Amino acid sequence: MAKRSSAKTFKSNWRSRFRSYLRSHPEVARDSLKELIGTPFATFMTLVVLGIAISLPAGLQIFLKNIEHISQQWQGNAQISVFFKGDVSEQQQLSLLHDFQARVEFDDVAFITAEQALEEFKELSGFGEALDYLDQNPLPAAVILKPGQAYRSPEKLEALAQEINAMNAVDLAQLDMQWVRRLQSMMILGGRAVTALSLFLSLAVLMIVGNTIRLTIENHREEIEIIKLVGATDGFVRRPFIYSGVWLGLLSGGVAWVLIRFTLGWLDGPVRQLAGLYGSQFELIGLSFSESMQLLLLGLLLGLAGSWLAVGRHIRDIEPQI
Amino acid sequence: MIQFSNVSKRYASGQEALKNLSFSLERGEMAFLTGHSGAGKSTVLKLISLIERPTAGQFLLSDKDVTRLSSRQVPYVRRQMGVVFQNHRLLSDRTVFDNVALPLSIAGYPPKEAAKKVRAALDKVGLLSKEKMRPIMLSGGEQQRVGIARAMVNKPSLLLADEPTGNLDPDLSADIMNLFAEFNRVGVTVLVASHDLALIAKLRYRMLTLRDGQLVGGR
Repeated sequence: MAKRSSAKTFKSNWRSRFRSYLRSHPEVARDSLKELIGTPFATFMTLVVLGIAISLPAGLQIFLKNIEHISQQWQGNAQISVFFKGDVSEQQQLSLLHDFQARVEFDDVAFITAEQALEEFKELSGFGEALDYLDQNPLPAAVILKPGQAYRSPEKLEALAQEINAMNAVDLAQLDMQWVRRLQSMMILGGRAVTALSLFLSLAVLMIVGNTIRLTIENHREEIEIIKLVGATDGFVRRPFIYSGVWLGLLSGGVAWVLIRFTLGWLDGPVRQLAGLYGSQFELIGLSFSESMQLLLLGLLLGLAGSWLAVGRHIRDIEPQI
Repeated sequence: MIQFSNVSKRYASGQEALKNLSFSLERGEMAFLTGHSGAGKSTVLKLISLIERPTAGQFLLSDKDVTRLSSRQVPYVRRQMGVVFQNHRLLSDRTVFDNVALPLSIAGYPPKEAAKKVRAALDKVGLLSKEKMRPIMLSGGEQQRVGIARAMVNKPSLLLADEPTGNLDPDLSADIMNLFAEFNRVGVTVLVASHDLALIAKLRYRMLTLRDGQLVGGR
């Protein structure tokens, strides 16, 4: 009797322990969710705070992605506008045009005569009638050069522009790339800022979840003492609080998703309008399926980490008293 | 079952709760632990239920030295004992049934088997008809019996009780003590801390009397 009992005391059958462990998880997960739903107002407020904290960096990330998309579109349009000096004869212009057409660097070479340039300017600028009063066409003839795919890197484009600029007949070879490069470096800066912000806000989410779980633990102090007294392991006591954190994280990921979708939907109309004014077919890129999943996963992981932090500290502190 | 050898307990506050206490309780024995408040009764129960650890001496439980048992092992040892408290310590947001089932669900019993054991324990304390009620709807004596059912549901070999009749009138107190005696008759080792000397005197069990953390009398 003595031997059997002490063996039972110190080594409980691991297989039955494992089985009960498996059985308890779905139950505990369900109970934790029920408890969150049981205090709807408090849960809602926490979820909104967490959702906003998650949606901010995620939303900025999407903003960056859209800007990147735009700049890529424009990079595809990289072109060099070559303006001839006023005193260059038409023959000289044509011979230079043939030279450009013969070069492998350019996919497309378009000649715009001074008259064509004036027509286009009238149409687009809205100064149509005012321009009629000019007795001389102030615009020079121009050649638009579109470099091939292989020559579109900023360095190569710049070298080409410099070379053309040095030609005698050329007044100015303007590279419409300058501001794309500026945009690119702005985006690198923006990317860093968003990363830093994401880190801070993730930390905030961690702390908010941790604090919420700490309060929940405080509210269950009596219960924790009792179940520890009747033989609950720390793992058993921890589990519901960990699940609460996971639910909070997952649900706030969902709230963030809704916030982002709502905001994108709200912006979509004006963005189309703006793009239309620039003659572009640009459309906002939203969250892809895998990005949506990542958002939920991020929430879940932050919730898990936050509750681990709180639980590790506070549950060991609660020891039963008689 | 329980063996204390020169056990001392000094709290962080400097209070010396137990001084060189030695006693043993055989398997299947029932005994009362008495003494004025502050004499060390609670400390003895806290040491046995592994809530506190002795500062000196040795403590055997079921012939096994648990003086320096790792805290990971503590829950498994606690599952082998039942503890009854003066203020019941029931969970007010759960039914009587769920309160009694608590130790079983912690130990991972399959629900069907657990339900059988819970009903048997509730039947034993005469509360089978109230399994769906909340503790708050019960009288003080009934609440205490729910606490006893919870302590006994897992058929522990050791039952500890801390002032189990502290809040009850004499008739109810006698009922509770009779319940303990019944458990003892089927082989459970029982240790009851109580200062209700009038009641204890009527029951012919061993008595351990503490004063200032030392044993001053025993039968």
